[in-house]
Amino acid sequence: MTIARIIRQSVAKRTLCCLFVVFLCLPFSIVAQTTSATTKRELTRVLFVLDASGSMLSRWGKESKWETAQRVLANLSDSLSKIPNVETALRVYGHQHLLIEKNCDDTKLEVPFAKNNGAAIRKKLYQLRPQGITPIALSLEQAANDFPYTPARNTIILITDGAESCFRDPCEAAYQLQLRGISLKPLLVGIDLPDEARESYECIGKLFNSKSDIQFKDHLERAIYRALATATLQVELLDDKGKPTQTDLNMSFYDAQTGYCLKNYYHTLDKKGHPDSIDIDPTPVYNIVVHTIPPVHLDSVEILPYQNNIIQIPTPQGFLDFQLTGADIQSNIKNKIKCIVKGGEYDQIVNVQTFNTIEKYLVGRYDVEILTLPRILLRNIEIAPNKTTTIPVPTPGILSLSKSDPTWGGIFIFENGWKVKKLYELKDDLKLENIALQPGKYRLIYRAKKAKSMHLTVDKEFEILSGQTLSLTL
Amino acid sequence: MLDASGSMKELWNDKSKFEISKQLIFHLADSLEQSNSNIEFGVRVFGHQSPRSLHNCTDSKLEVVFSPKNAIKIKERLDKITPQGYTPIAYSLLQAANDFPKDSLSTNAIILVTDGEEKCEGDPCASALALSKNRVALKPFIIGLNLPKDIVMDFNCVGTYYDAKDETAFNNVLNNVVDQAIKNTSLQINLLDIKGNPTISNIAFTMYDYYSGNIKYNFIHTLNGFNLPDTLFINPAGTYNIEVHSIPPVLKVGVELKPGTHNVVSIDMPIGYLNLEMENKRPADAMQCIVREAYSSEILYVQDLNDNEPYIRGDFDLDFLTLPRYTKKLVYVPEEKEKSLTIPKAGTLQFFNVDASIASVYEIKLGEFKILYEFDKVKEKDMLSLIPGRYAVVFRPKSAPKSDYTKTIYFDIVSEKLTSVNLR
Repeated sequence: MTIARIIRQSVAKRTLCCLFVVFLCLPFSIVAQTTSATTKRELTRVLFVLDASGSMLSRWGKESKWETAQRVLANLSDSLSKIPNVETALRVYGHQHLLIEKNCDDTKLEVPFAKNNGAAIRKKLYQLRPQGITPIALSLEQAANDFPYTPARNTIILITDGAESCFRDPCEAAYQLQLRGISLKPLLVGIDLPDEARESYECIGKLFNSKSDIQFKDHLERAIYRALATATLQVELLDDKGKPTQTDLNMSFYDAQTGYCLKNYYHTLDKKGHPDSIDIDPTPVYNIVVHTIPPVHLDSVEILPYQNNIIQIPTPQGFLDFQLTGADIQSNIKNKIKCIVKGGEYDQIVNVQTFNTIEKYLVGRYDVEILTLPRILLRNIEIAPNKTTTIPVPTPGILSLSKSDPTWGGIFIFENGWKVKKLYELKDDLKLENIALQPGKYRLIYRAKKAKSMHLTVDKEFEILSGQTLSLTL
Repeated sequence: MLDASGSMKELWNDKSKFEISKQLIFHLADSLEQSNSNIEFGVRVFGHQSPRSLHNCTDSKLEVVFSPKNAIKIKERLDKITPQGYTPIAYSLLQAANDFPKDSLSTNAIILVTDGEEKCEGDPCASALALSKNRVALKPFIIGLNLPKDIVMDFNCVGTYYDAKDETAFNNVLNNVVDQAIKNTSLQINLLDIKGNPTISNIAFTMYDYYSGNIKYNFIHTLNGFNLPDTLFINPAGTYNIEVHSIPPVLKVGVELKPGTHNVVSIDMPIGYLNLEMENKRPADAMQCIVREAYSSEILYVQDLNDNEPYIRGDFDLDFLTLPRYTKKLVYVPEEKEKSLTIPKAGTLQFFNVDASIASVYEIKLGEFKILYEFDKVKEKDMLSLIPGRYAVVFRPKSAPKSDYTKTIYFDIVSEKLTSVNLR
């Protein structure tokens, strides 16, 4: 089986994996029920970034937009503070300066992160008055510092009724947050956003645009639901028979959007021999890499929230062993000889092994090149599941050269009797050289530096025996 | 160079071997000096001055010096000589080096006529080698007068051996040999630098027969005393492929030699140098780098770090077999210049694993985890040599068999510094 097939197989399997999904929880109704009984929640922080620009004063049904936002957000904050391991904070913009001042620095963290601060947020919301402009990009930039440094799942929910009005790029600001691993894509809840504003937010993240106060409440709940969603994941690493027996491999989970490595999980089987369940944030789209040799990639994995997800990745493995067949030799000579293993999708070097070490590889065919003198190239070496492929290599012998005069020349091999190939260039400044060579016949072609005629070239045959030293004097 | 040892008195039919030799040499010199104005003969004789019983091992003398039209002189001189003594071949060959006028433009050849083996414990092979250092570039021609097979073997290292069983055969062989010596075909191989000057040398090359592909000659290219490519005297009846053993090799196909002339072949050798270093490397570090021609998957050469090797100008892909491997693509080695690459000296990772964690080390490159090494769970302490950079250890303690307990520790490796990581 080639590696490429494994990768294609795993992608094919992935489309199937939606069918494997096992439903553990009922669909949610309200925020307070979002904690699944089966999973413990990691610390989750939600930062609300609220628009308090002048336009928020405009009427929207029975209330102004601001009054609706005030009321809905205050109530939801109260509910959120009852969920364990969830912290909230509030940043507001456009509330400190008048619209005509066009103050683009008008953004402030009004309520910092803390446990149970629903009441504090409610109180602050009713103290503020909207009036100014809309510096969204700056607000997102500054939001980076609103989150404490301790690791947690950090989310931003941005509530706004208009587009950036300070000529900066909110997309770039949001992207920088992701790149730095501070938070994932912000969730946006729009209050009757005009079309052009909606377009400008497409790059930031998921947008819920609301046409009425009732819809706004629903959308904000949905955004919070997403922010708090939990899920579990079982990764089945399949052997050649399609059984999930492979384990003890590290798996890196990358954010598919940013390429940032979010988590590493060493694959574990529980006492019953099943892959254990991992609590996982379902918000990002993941690229998963299983660190076999060569690694197996599974891109664009979507995790369904509030469910146990099962993913199958074929990682059948076998072993490769390089063995010296003759008498043992000095370890510095032995360890210097590297065995290059090439293969995988791009036919690149996937590993470098030394003698008498056994390493694991994905099953498949590999090219092996052993850096002896001369090099040994073996193509299409097969690694079979759970089997050890042993490559026997004759122990080299040593050519010990002593030179009475500085000499030009090299060690050559007459390949098949008709091709002269240089294996080694003599070091012209060394009086003594020890060169490890595979057993066989070679030519030493050389001439003293001081000799001024080509006819003084010496062409001498010699034979190297495995594990033995041959001393020659030039 | 004529044998005048005692055994040369032996009769072939009704004339002694010496008598026959004398006549044939005279006739040859006589006819050639009339047809060819650019040839000169000299005659050295050995074994003629002391009787055999004296065992004189320095009995060798240049009887006729080189000069134009000296056939008569040769005859007169040889007529006065009586063979009687020993066979100091090695000594004679050594002396012969000084018999040739010090004129570098001439082609010098030796024809040795003998009926016996070296008797003075000298080494004719060593003498022949010394000769070739001394302006006599052509291997000596040896004409053996009915020599036993075991003696013939001894002459193989001296030069090209021809057997003569009787007078007719002797005559034929002598003419043939002189023909070869006169119709000298020489070859000069110019290995050109980028300015077109033949300055490149001291590199091995092979001459293959163009038609059969057989290996014909191997030489180390040489500049002579005038710093010009040395002249080769080889079999003119041939077309050759010449392969210069550079990295990669340079091939010149179908080189045809014009017999009887001086042939000059030029091969472009735009050589530059690739210098691969590791800072403050100790010889024990024994690091290597795989060199491939750009875009090729075939290994061209495996270069030791801290070596400076010549390459034919071009783009190369390099894979340093450090941990982690360090790949550098499209490295251009310019002609006549040196391209240097230095790898920073490795640092050391020391890790403690008292909990028998399953653990592996990763190189972090642009945020990506690349596995480098899996630790042996059984070892409580281990060391690893890594080139400077950003790394991570990922591990899961044996006592906590859940994926969720996997931990990732990031660390930096600094040249020649020890970084300790405790897996707990």
